[in-house]
Amino acid sequence: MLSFQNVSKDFQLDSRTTITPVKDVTLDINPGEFVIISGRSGTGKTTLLNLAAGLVKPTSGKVTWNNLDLGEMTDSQLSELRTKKIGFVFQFPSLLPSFTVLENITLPKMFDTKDRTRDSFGKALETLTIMGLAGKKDVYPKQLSAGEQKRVVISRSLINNPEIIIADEPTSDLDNNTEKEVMGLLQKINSGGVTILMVTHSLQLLPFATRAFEMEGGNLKEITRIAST
Amino acid sequence: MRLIWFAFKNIRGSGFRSLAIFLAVMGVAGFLLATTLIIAGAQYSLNSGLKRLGADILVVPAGAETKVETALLMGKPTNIWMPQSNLQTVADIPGVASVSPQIYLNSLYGASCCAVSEMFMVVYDPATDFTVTPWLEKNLGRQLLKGEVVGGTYVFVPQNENYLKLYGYNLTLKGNINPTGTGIDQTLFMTMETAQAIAQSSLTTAVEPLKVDAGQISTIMVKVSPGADVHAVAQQILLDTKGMVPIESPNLFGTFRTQMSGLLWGFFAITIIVWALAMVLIGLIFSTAANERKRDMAVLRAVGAPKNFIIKSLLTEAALLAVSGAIIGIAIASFGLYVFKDAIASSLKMPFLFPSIPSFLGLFSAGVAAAIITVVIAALIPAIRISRQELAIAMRE
Repeated sequence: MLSFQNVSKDFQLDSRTTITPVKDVTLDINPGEFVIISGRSGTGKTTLLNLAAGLVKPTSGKVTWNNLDLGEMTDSQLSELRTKKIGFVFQFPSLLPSFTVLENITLPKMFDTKDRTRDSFGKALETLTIMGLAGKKDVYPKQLSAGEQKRVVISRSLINNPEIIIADEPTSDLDNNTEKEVMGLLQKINSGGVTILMVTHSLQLLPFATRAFEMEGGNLKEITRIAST
Repeated sequence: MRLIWFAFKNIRGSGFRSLAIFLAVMGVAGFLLATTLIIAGAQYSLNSGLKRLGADILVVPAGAETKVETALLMGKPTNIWMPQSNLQTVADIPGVASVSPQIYLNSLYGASCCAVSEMFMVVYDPATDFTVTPWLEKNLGRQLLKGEVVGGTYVFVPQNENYLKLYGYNLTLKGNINPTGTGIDQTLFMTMETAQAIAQSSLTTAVEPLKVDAGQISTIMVKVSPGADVHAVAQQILLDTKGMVPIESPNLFGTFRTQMSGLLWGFFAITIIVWALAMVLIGLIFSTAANERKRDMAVLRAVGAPKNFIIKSLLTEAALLAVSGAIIGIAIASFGLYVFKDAIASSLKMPFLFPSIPSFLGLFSAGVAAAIITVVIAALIPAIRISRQELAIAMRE
């Protein structure tokens, strides 16, 4: 499904300094997996997710989606891929402040040019109901708690029925209860057949994964033993 | 439609920034239209005045050119004289199709015998006239009788009166000719018979009686034959007559046109400066806004927005603000100009006639289009820059 083949990514900070957050990574993610990549801050986890979504292009190696090289795709092809196949859960607050909860959730629908017939607000409301936030559909993001905002972001990631959800530290700024709640939701989504690729610095979350990896200095290493929750 | 909705939501969400752009566009568009309208209004006014006079050449006593121009342009009464025999001399010049004399008179200033103060009066010859006669034929169906007058658009009979009293003589106002924005709007047109009756009345009612010399005229209105060269005819008049100066119709109000040209260049320079500053200001506001929304735009890109959506959404925001700002700015400027047109014309010492509806709508549309183009250009660079940003970096900011 999603494959990294000897992928490296360099960033040139200035004329003298180049950093390589991802070094020669090879990884295959299969449909229905719940893959967690852990590691400390600055080890290249987010860059790896950005490579997976085609948000950045690899300096060397290939990232493929069902054998299609993301590096060869045009901007509009990548946009279509992200609209239809990928759901995003960001580490930072990513709801647009000028839009209500319901409007934020339907945003990805705007870019699905081939599917304008479906009732996007109906679908969004359905997802919000599952998340337990139907009563807050008309409020603005700043009126929500951090946990509620995260649930709205997860709702948004599901609006186009994606094949994979890419989640970057989805529980980083949440309390323990909300963290469990969010992870429970991701697990539930995964059990419905949606692949999850998630990065976290918290080792406590590894038991939720079907496969887990550790990233250190840009290198990826599979964790073979995962302690149960 | 979704793009407009999206842009509208962003406009509402960034109230202060949107207001700043809206006000900048409103001010600039309003200023631009106001200056254009003043210049166009002055031009329109001059053309209407010239059309009303109906002459190809105006022959005036030498040295009286400025007085005649001021009288016709601003309605400032004047007394100029030349022998009536000049009429035949001019009529005999090859290329002249018809001539008609006019006599310029004025009522007294603040005199109790006159209902209106310092009224500019033009006496015309019904047999040869082509200034008022076409209007009379169309609107009255006959020539003016003794005691009847036609006024410019601002001439009116005082309230609770039936007549316009001049030098104790009652005049019946038979109508008002269309506005020209020039002194013609404050002028009273009458026949020689009426002028002589007023002069007769003035002998007993005024300390300074009105003088109408039978053998004297003020100006000669000349129409050239079809196909004749107006300039050549004017030159011939200059050569064949003494003490007279021909003014070709397009050159009439020449002094004023020179002043107006200076004013026009001044307005033009100020407009360019204001416009350029506004463009820089709007560009900076959009740049700041684009920077503030870097992460939001990166999120949009991550959830599937193509680069061109980012550009289009920012440009749509710009266009919506430009349209609304320009429409409101132009509407306020137009309304202000319409209401205060007389005060503006008098303070700028220039004639002004509000342009016709089609011309005004043309200016209105051009103003809105110019505002859209300007604001969209100002927003284009920040829009392109934000669409090309490195998403991974933007999401970390």
